Amino acid sequence: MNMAEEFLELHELDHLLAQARDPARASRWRALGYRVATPAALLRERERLAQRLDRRWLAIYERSLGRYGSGLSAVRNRVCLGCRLTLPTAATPVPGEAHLHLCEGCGRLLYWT
Amino acid sequence: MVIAEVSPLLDTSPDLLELRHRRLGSALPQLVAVARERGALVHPELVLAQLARRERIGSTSLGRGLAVTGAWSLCVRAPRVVVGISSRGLEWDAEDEAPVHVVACVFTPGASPEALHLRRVEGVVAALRLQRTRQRLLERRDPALLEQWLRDLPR
Repeated sequence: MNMAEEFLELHELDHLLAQARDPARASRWRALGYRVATPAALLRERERLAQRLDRRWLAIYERSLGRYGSGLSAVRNRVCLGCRLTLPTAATPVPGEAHLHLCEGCGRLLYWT
Repeated sequence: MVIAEVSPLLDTSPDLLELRHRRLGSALPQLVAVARERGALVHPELVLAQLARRERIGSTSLGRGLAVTGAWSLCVRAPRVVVGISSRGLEWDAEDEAPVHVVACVFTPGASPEALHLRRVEGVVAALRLQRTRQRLLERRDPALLEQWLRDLPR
């Protein structure tokens, strides 16, 4: 798994944590009949996952997570879906490239879909 | 000259499959594999990890033999619902301890709003909530029937 995919995994895990921690979201799931519990096991898993990641990129991710509620943003047709900025053509990664990129508008890590 | 990018129309009809396994941990990979085959997913291993983590927040079994799980994820490329049926029943950590006979897995692209994913899950739960509906599905195993029940699901 490359670094971009590892951050993607962290991003997905953070979504789940937000789902369980946010009372409004959790209550909508409970209304459907789901049990939503305190995710202590997931917090430990997040810690383990974060330890594997590059600290510099992780700091950038965490800063965006704190600011926007999401540390990573998808890119579709060169548009950052987090802030709607159209990214320059030169920012498009070469297929198969594992490097991480930041959005020039919002500073989130970018995941090219 | 105007150049327009035309996305191909995706087949978003639900899939119905017979689950071969007895446990949740074995049934989830089968559901994910079908979605992957249909081109709805990339990184199936991440999706599988996400579904397993979802169970740790709380079981997705809704009791009386029904489980509805799913992923709202950037690994999902196209909306898809995969429904698995098991005559023998699956062990799914259900609150009522009943084996699960019908499992629906709702995949929604992470680029769509989270509220849309919730509406899709709500739609699937509503369609499969009734015991007699699930019984019909188990008896007839007809994908057309499933498609009819889920046709109004938001995409």
